[in-house]
Amino acid sequence: MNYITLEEYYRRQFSFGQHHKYSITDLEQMLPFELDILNDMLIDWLEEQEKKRNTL
Amino acid sequence: MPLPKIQYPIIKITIPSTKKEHSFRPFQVKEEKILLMAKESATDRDIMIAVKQIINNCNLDDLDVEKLATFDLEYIFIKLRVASVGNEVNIAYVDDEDQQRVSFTIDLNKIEVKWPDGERRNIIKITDTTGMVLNYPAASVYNDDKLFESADDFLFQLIIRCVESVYDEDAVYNSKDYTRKELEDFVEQLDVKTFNKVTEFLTDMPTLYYKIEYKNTKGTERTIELRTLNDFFTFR
Repeated sequence: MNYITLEEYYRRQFSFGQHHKYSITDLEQMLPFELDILNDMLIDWLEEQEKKRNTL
Repeated sequence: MPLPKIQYPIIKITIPSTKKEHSFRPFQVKEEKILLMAKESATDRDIMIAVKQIINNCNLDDLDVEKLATFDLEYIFIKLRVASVGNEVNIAYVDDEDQQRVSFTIDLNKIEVKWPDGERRNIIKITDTTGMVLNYPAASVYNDDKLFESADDFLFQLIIRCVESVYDEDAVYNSKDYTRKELEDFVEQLDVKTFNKVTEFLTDMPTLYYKIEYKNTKGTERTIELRTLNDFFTFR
């Protein structure tokens, strides 16, 4: 697929597992577009938290 | 123990060569990994073996993936990719006239299988009473080490694997009943004209097809025709 490399794949799995406590098995059973949506939502949430922290 | 529940949407895909409809589920993240690994190995053969494995995993009925034509595999994979990842792919080319990079978004839903013009030429007449029936290369060729080791001889070896039967006025001889050596001997004795017809059948196979038209910065109308999976996904 054009949109992701194997390295990016493992980095993403590691981040979800290590930092956000997702199970690798659960992640692997998702459909790729579901994981993309989850990834985008997580980034949005992290940016929101960052903004909140900066305004305090 | 209760029966397992179906967790994924079911997609119906019509196989281009047989026109039969089969059921599939979208591929999962773990199956996407199979493809990413094959992509790292960097041979078209490894990528097609991975594609075949994914299609086999996602098939929900009795489809024999090994018997599919190679263009069927590509078509099914495109449809599964739409359901699993999305229907848009971004690709970029460097125009060889103005050297500018041009980007396009392809809608994978618009990709069709393009059949060669004219009547089907899988029946090759050798004489008035003798002939042979050919099949398009099956997906099983990707697992055939002997075929891929035959570098200079590749086309000849592929032809042998595509012979379905030979006929004369008395009988039909199914290729399954004969050894590879016997088939080699048979194909070797074909006259040049017949051999060219056989070659033409293989080089003029149905392909995926998508046409991009654009005008470059020098005002020239350009057309790009995409025909293989590699054209759409730039695997390597």
